[in-house]
Amino acid sequence: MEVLEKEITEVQTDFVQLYKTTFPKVARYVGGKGGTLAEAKDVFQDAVVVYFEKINSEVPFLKKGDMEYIVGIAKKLWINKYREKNRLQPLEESYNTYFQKDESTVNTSLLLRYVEKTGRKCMDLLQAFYYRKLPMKDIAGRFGFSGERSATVQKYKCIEKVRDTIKAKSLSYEDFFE
Amino acid sequence: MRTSLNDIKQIEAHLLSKMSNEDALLFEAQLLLDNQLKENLLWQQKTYALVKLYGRNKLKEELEQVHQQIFNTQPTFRTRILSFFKKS
Repeated sequence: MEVLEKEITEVQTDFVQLYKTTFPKVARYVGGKGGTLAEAKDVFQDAVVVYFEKINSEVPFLKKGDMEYIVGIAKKLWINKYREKNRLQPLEESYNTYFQKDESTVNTSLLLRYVEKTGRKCMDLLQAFYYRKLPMKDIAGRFGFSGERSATVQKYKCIEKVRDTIKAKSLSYEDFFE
Repeated sequence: MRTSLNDIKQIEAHLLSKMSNEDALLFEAQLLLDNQLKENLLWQQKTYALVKLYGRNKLKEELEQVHQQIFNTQPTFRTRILSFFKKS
């Protein structure tokens, strides 16, 4: 557990910088349009996720253009998600261009909660590799493996474990996936 | 590595398009013949989707922690942010 906490602190240092420079701009925009702090926080977080997935690598913070990009996405998300909330037609379509629907269905969230309970350590390892795209060498260090090779083997073991959990759970509750 | 882990490695290479053309062809032929392999591929695909969702959630949690931390320790910053919003 100690290792995992260290990882979070390291990553946070970068996010503090990102947050302090970017969030005020998002907050000013949303506030100026009559939105709430909670809404500003929500679209800011989503925008960072979009940015993060776009750059597709470990946080190389932070160039000026990147900050503007995040603020731009946050504005767009807020307009789509909140400014139009009282209109008849929900404008979810453009929101979904950022977030593919099939990955965030209720059933998937349910399944995720189950997998988290049974194998959080594996999920942390897998997300460090596949989502955060950290180099295997760093992952080995952070998670306390003797080297890249054993971390790689563990990664495949984790895929197997999570896969089998998903399979077992999905077959017992067939409505997890349509 | 165990055979089952090697299968996972192969499936991954296939899903992430990291196979050579020759290997990819061979693998596709195997998929046609081996139902178990095909089924495993589908479950593995769902595994990656779930890892992605988990990664997203974790990222947002970390951002939320940063928000709380700064709001709680830096009153000037907090006041500045709050000034952007109308009191309700």
